[in-house]
Amino acid sequence: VTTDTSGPVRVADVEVNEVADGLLLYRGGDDTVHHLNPLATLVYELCDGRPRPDLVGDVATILAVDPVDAAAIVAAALTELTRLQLVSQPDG
Amino acid sequence: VIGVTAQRWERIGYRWLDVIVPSPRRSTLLTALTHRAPCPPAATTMTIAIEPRPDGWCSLVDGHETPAADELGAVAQAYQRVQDAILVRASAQGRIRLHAAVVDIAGQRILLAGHSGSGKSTLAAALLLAGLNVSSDEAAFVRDGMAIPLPRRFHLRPTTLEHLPDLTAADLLRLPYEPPIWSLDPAALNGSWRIEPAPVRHVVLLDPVHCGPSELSSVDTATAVAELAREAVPYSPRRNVVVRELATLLATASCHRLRLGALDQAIECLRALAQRSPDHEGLHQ
Repeated sequence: VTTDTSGPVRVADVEVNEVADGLLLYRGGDDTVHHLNPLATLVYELCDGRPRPDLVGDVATILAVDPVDAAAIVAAALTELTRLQLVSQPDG
Repeated sequence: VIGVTAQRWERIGYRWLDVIVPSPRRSTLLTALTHRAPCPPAATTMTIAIEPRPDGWCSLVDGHETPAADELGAVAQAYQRVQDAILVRASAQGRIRLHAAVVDIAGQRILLAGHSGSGKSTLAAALLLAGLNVSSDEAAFVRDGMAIPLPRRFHLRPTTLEHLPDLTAADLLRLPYEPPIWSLDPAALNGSWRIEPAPVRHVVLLDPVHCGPSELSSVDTATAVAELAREAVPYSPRRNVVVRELATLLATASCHRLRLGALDQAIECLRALAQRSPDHEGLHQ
């Protein structure tokens, strides 16, 4: 657990529901539903403000993959989660 | 059925509501609202009558009279009032309404979901004729992964009778829509018809093709949620509740798509599905 909150964070006002193969998110503001697959779910759940390098390291550890591969997974997931406004990043 | 001073009254249990019909024989078509599924007494009661008037017919719901052009129209009004009242009460309990038939096979509850015309009633009637325990052809109220079937007579189209000629020997009431709807009390074919809550083990999305083989395949959660929500949202005042309940449902139930062709094959597909161990679905941890 880190106290540094310079990394990506989940946006508020999203209802999180677990399903068998990921998460089902509902945002009432624009009445949208998103289904996250297991990889996206992992990244989303780690978006608690921890710095991005830590996030990549944690993903690499949990998935037991090479850090380069973990960085690619995190980048792809954050791009999509940010586009969908489910995660906000300090740099926008 | 209780007798009150020579007048015949009938109580029809809808679980959330008891409908009292005085002298149902005054309107033959009012039989369309009756069924023989035993339900425990409900907390509230609605009294319905259909009566002729010099210039047409009317429905009387708790004494409130609404004119209608004909008997069928009056019955349709009353039916809608009952359905609306059920929906309000079920929603107040946090239940969402899924557009799905309900069948129990080998102790496994299966929801057969689909839009109007997707084959729910035809498949439900075929399952009933096969001796299986079908408790609704239309809807289930779902909360915490548990489904309560909507008790009502099955509504069958002429094409269903063409597919299932054995049904013509059953207790059918013809409703003079164009084309006609045939109303079937499932108790006529299944004396053990019960409206009981049970956990849902499988959700099957119906994909009607009306010919060729029937085939079952897996469906991912996102697709299942999208299709189930499309039918559930119009009946739910709060969409987040729909999403939450669908998530809860799909956390413990497996989801499949049934290409609905030959009915006998479809029944075998569902029997085989019910025999699968939930652990083999990889959904229970």
